[in-house]
Amino acid sequence: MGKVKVIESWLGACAGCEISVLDLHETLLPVLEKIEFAYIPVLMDVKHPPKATVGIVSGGVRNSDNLHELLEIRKNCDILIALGSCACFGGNPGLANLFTTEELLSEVYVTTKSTKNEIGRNPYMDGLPTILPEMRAVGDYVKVDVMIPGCGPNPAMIGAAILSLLGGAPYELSTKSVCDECPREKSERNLKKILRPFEGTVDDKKCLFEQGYLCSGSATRAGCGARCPTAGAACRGCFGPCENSVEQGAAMISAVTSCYGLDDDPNTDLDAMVADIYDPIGNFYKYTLPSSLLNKKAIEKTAAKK
Amino acid sequence: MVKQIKIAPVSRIEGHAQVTIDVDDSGKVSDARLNIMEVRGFEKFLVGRPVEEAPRTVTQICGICPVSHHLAGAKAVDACFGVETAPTAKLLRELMQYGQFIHSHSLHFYFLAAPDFVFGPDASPEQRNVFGIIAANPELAVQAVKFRKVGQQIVEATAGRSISPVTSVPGGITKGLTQADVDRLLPMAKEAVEFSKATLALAKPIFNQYIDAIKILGEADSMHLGLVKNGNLELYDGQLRLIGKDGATIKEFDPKDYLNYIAEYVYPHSYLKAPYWKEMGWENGMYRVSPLSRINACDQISTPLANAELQEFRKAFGRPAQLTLLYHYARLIELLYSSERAVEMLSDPAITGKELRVPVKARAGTGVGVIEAPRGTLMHDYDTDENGIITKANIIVATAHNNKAMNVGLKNTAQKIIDTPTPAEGILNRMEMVIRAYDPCFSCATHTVAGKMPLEVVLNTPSGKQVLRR
Repeated sequence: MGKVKVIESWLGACAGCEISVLDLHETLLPVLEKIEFAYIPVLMDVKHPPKATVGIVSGGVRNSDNLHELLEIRKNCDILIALGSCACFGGNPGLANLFTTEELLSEVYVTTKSTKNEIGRNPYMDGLPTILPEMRAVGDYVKVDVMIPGCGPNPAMIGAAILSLLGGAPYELSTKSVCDECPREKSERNLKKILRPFEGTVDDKKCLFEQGYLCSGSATRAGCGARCPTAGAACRGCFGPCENSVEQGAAMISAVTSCYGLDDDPNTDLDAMVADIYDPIGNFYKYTLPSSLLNKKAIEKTAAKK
Repeated sequence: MVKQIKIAPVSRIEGHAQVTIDVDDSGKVSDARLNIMEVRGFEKFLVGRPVEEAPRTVTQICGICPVSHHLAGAKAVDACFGVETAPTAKLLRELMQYGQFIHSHSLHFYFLAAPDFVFGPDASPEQRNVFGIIAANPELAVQAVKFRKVGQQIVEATAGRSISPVTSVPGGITKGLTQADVDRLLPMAKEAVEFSKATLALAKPIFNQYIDAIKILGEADSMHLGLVKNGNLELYDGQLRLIGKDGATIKEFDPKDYLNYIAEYVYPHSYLKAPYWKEMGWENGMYRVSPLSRINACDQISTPLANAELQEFRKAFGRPAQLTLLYHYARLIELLYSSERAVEMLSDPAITGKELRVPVKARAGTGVGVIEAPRGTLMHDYDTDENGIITKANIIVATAHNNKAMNVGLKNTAQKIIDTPTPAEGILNRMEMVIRAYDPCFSCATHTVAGKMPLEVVLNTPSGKQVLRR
């Protein structure tokens, strides 16, 4: 049997997904006996994607080049894998959707502290790609057959996905949440006060959320092995929403508000408690804003304004 | 009639770029430019976010050097809060940095750059890559894979994960190393020293073999900038030193004052800005950063094996060495240094210390964090309000500092090696080798807006008919 042909490309991305593939380390070598990369710009000088069985894309769609590349890959492969949080949900750079393209460009090319650009010129020559109004997930433009979420994706999951495709076995994402994988001790979800990561004294054994830190584990799909909470940092949700959950950020807001320990004191300042939930978009939609209802709502608003 | 040759995407680099070459019918090159294709806008969307979150956000600027962004961000945050990083945390952050250098430098040499030297710049694109190396010399490939793994394991142990590190928090780090961690990592670091020595032994004769190409490609004589500490090569802390083309120090300064010395120019043909030495102006203020710049800027290296390599290098190429392809050589000297430093740090009992965090309070402030990323000097600068929320952010990545030099080097090289409007693939690959030498990270570079950097060549006739695309 010949090797299975694979084409891989990155769109608006950071290369972390490609590093995740390489982080299979020596276990990648036997995989390479079964698959053959026919196109992968990070490693090869072949300049155009040929026809292949499997296509892999990382990154979101940020500009016209990304979109063109995505369509080329989709056209030339039978099975398309969206690799990583940006491809699956739009990812962290999707927070740029909170601003207009003009605002982004003016910040970068005119107003940052070190920039000297008196005439306020944006780059324009040599057919530079056009920046699209928004960062978008790959699935907004083409059919995605397999999603491997994560920032970066778990190398073992990438290996499992590729091998299952080769063997024809189904590849399935976990239906559990990060909390189910987290080794920290859980007891009562009763929040007294929301803490920022530098406030209070962190108990290394106990659930971070129960200590008051905004940890998105309960609203996030399992599969990472709870790496962040294990290392002492709250989950920020890079694996995206849990199975059957429409909106990861809403699930987190619901988790926080339903665990607030309300007393019966009529003088309790509810507004202050709500205000304590700092930066809900940055914390709860860190990786999924482009594919969230929030983003769609914002687009409708902008359209209505115009 | 001027035609444009486009090399797009530039490949075996990180991120998206293309090269545009203006050439007339007789083959005379009038200009060559590096086009960086993307921008993602991190500087904008950091605004309004809590500053302690920045070190966990800027990691998505680059998946190859996330540790550098994490640490430059963490240093800037500590400066914003006005705290001195807890002593053990400082050690662990520095060790994290060496883990990343081992991963990134070995990745660049074996996976991206070596194929040009092992198979030659004219080998077929199907063979001239890491898969070609795996097929031709599987043992070497396994060694390369194991080498990089050492780096990633050090990163995982200190950063929580190898991509998107998470452990640095204001004033410290969330988790320490146990003696069991050290017992596991120290033998690996020692192995990395051996791998580094073997890599240098392998590479030096190859560099020698390609010395003619090294002399021709990418000429861009410049000043050089890098961190030094007591004159030693430094990757984590210290003073920034700028040296001139004669090797003399022009300025040594506290990194937090970078705005006094550095400004950024906006090219019309690239989404990547181009920093320059302010005092000398855009025309004359070209400097470079990188492994070569760092070993040019320092007086010596504090570890014995790497210092011996530096002295041998200086004897052959002088100080400052200017040849662009020597970046590869310098990178391997740093690989050895990083491995030696990892061994030193893991052998020091202080590494399992418990002073992981200091108490901090939010305040209005400004914080600059400067670190040496694998590709060169990286600067993060945040302003915060009294609640520690970011009000302004500025990031200058290593690849940006080298932007002008890459453009100059491309033009110089094109004028030397291109004499026809239809150059052979191998000639265009030599143009890519100029860029590859810088180990540029266009994902970093395009933090400003999302980026892409494969290289593709399109050759059009004046009527717009495509004659070559690869």
